[in-house]
Amino acid sequence: MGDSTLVLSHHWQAGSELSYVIRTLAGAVSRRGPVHVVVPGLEEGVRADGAFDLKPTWPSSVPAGAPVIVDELRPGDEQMLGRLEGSGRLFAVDSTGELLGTTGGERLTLVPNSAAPGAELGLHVPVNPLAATHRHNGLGFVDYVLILSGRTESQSEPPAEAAWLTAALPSADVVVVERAEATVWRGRARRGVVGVDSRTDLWRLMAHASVCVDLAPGAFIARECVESLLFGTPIIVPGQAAAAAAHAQSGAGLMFDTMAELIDAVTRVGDPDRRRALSEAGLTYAQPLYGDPPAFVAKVAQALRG
Amino acid sequence: MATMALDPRPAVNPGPIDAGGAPRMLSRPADAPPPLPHVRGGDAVRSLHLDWAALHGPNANATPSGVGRRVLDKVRRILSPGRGDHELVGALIRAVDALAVRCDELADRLSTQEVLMEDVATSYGEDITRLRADLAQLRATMRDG
Repeated sequence: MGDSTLVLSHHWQAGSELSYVIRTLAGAVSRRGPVHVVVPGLEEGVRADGAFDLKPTWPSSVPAGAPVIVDELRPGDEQMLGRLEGSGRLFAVDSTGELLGTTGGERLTLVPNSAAPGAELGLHVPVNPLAATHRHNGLGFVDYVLILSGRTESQSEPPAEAAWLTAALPSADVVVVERAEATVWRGRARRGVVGVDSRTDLWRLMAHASVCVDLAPGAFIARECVESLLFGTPIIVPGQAAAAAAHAQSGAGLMFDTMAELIDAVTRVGDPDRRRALSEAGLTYAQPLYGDPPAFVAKVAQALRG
Repeated sequence: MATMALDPRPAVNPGPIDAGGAPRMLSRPADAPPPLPHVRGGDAVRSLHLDWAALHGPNANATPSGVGRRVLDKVRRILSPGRGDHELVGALIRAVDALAVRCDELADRLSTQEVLMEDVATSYGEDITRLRADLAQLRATMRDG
């Protein structure tokens, strides 16, 4: 039957990056035994969701020594966790240090960090390598600067970062992706809009870009940055974005805190030798950490065993 | 990174980056369009010259012979009723020529201006943007001590 694992998820259905992380972790631990997924706030009963049965409360009998994985350890979870008798170690993806101290939990590290080198689990971030074989149908060119803006409101002007880039690099094609659309800017002028209807469309855009600038990378693994690295496209990210900055610091990308640094970074990636070196470094970094499912499953199992 | 390992929450969301007022976008591209084709080389002016030459040029009488020549002579007589009309048509063709030459000169000048404007807009825009960005960074560095 294997070793059971308990998963407490506040974000299972949120569609956020944390939701993606906890689902991937649950998938990985399912290779070692049964997984009990608890989603607080669900209606009574069992709700099937893909490979998992979601429940609002803990199972009546908790397997002895079963580890508990929490996506976000929130104040108030202590009571819920206190009802678990005989469970094993507690792991959290997101938590304050104080809550971890109170509950005796451990943090699951998904990206490298200098404080605990080598302790990162990584994650499985799937990409379709076929996306690299054909560029996006709507664009007649490649080697553009791809900007993932993260804006959700409809706006006629590009994000400030894109405006600075298209003004400072007038011959560069700057493609801004937001609201399921890719808008092309060149020489301060808008040249056209194409749809980004699927994840494959986004992957195609990433795979054929000269560089990917992620203005709003995810907080926990910066999934789009990882996808870009898996296609061999270097990344440029805000220096304040912790997970994305960790990727960039691996040698696979550059960081910026000001517009001058952003312009300088994009200019530097424009050098073919520099870009090639960043691309190779990115693949070397991302492939074993985020593109190797068996290794990820093994690392998760080892982490839970301690 | 060390901070993040202890507690990622303060570090997970990048703070707003002061752009110092992003550069304004253009309502239409500043690219120079393809130069206008010359009017003198156009079909309309060229066919006017060819037709005129066929009717009144030095080889006008030599081209056809026999019946063809007699027909053409008849046509000439019908189309050229008088000496005054003949001169007027000639003057009109010369005027068309002069206008075409001037149009072509203007098109060349416009093309030069458009290329120049693209160069100026591109290079000055690039230089000024980079200067602004560097200046903003310098100010921030000085402000932070």
